[in-house]
Amino acid sequence: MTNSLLKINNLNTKIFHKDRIVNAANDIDLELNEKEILCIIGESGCGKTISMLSLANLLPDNAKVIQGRIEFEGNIIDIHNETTLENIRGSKISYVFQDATSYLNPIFTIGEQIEEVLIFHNKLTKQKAKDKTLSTLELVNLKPALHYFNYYPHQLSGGMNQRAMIAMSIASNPKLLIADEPTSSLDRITEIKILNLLKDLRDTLNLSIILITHNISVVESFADKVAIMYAGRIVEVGRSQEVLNNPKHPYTIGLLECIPKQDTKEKFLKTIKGSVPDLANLPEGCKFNPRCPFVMDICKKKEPNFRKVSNNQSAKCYLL
Amino acid sequence: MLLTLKNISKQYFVQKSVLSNNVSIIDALCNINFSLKESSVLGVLGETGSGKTTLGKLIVGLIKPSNGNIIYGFPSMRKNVQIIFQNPFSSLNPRMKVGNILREPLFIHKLADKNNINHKLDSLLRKTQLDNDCLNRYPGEFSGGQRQRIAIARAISIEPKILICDEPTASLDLSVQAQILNLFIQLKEEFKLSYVFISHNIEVISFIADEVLVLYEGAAVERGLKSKIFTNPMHPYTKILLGKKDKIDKIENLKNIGCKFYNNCSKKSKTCKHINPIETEIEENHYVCCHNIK
Repeated sequence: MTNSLLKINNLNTKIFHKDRIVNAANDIDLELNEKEILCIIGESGCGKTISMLSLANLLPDNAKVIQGRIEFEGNIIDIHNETTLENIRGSKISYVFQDATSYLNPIFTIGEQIEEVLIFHNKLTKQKAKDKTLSTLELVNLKPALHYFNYYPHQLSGGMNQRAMIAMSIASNPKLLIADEPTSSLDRITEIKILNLLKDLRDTLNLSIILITHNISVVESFADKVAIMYAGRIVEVGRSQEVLNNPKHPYTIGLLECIPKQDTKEKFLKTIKGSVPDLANLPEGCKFNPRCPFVMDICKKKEPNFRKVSNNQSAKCYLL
Repeated sequence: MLLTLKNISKQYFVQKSVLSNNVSIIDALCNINFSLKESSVLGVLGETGSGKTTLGKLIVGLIKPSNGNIIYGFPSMRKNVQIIFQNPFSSLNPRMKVGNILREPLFIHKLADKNNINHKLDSLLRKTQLDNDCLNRYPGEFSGGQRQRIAIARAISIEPKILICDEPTASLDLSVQAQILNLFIQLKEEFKLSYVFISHNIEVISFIADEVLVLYEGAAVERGLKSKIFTNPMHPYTKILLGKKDKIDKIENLKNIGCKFYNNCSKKSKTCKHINPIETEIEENHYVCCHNIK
């Protein structure tokens, strides 16, 4: 049996601006087992990044987790306690960010930056840290490792920088890797290479991965589970094959129809009309109702709860 | 023919350090041939560094080719070829109001005067599905999709014949990408536009293009009608690009004097290492650049 690694219940995060309050994450419920890959999809401004940053409280200064219960490896994480967080952040839960080239420090070599993680989190000596760094670089296919150890970020291409960053985040043997659009600035072939690398690492290191993306074709080949976010909420969640083959929420259906298909006879693509609502000024009831083609009266009054489609799939919609 | 490229090559010279005279040569493009018909779409497919953007810049005349000829089927290139850049966040001047951004090309090409400019702008905004009140706002106030619409409006304002689209949807969300692609198709019919559509997104190219050109390291490895390339890819690289995703592990970028794809190719032979293959027509409207396909 697979064990549950991460459980998020009722997570709410708000961002406080001078004149308005943005509900970036609302009632997020997620569950992740060991060695599982979860993809979170949604358009930009749907709160994907903020809800994942909430897990290790890496939020910007004006954002705050209002409520929520996060259970990691059976223990409840107190997000407001910096000392307990320090033991988890970086060593148990680690992040890979979108733009590796700007995330890496340009005045240190790749090797020095990975060593630093090991010395800080795993309390290794300098020599042991270097050995471990070299073996990690090999693991992400930056070979010969000794050669890349002394490279500065600007000497490497985007894909190699992304590999270096993945090396940095897996160096301390985390349990959970959260990758925030790790491939969106890379081209197709590099993207597939990076995703294959992540998949290999899942098997060799027993990692669980949460992948944030807005590219649905990634999900098909990569994810076990998928969660679709809209306006700070999860609107549909389930096994990736089931959700992609049999989407239930109108937003998921719309997103899948937006992908250009090769053998289509139709001249125009189907689109979702309108645009993502302002998170500070959301509509009443179901947040998707102004754009939904199947809108009913009840959708405008009351927000739906999750309804089960099957054992592994549920969606927030009155149509079910 | 609206546009014909004959044996186009472009080399960049890079000085190795400030003090030395050592110069290394980068072949951004070598021996590219293609022609573009009226109201058709050429999709240019390739990964980063394959010379896609260089090709776009050459056609607009932003850079000059080192070798070869570009032949336009109309007298004024400046007016008839326009470009839309990848990133709408950096291609619009942040200190100009949208109205001025759209007026500028019309005045430069003397296509409007003070009396009819407002009427022209109105119809332009309607065609690109923008609101009327956006004329007095700055680009910073718009979302990515809307900015790309503004860039499109600017490009089509002088009614060009060819539009170069350099990854116009790469920075956009899926639903917005679909809206913009639909807009491209609408405009194509309305203005009888032709596009050179540069992208690394295979789904987008398969949807919008009539003909496809596949670039690898600056060489055109395969070109032809979309239907032929997508149903029957011949070159090993195109096969990898269009094929199953998990087969791509082995691609490495090593330079080679012969065929550029030599190091990654499954069908390589001795000839491939030393001699660069030339383009051959294997069936009607389908050209491949490979020694092993006859």
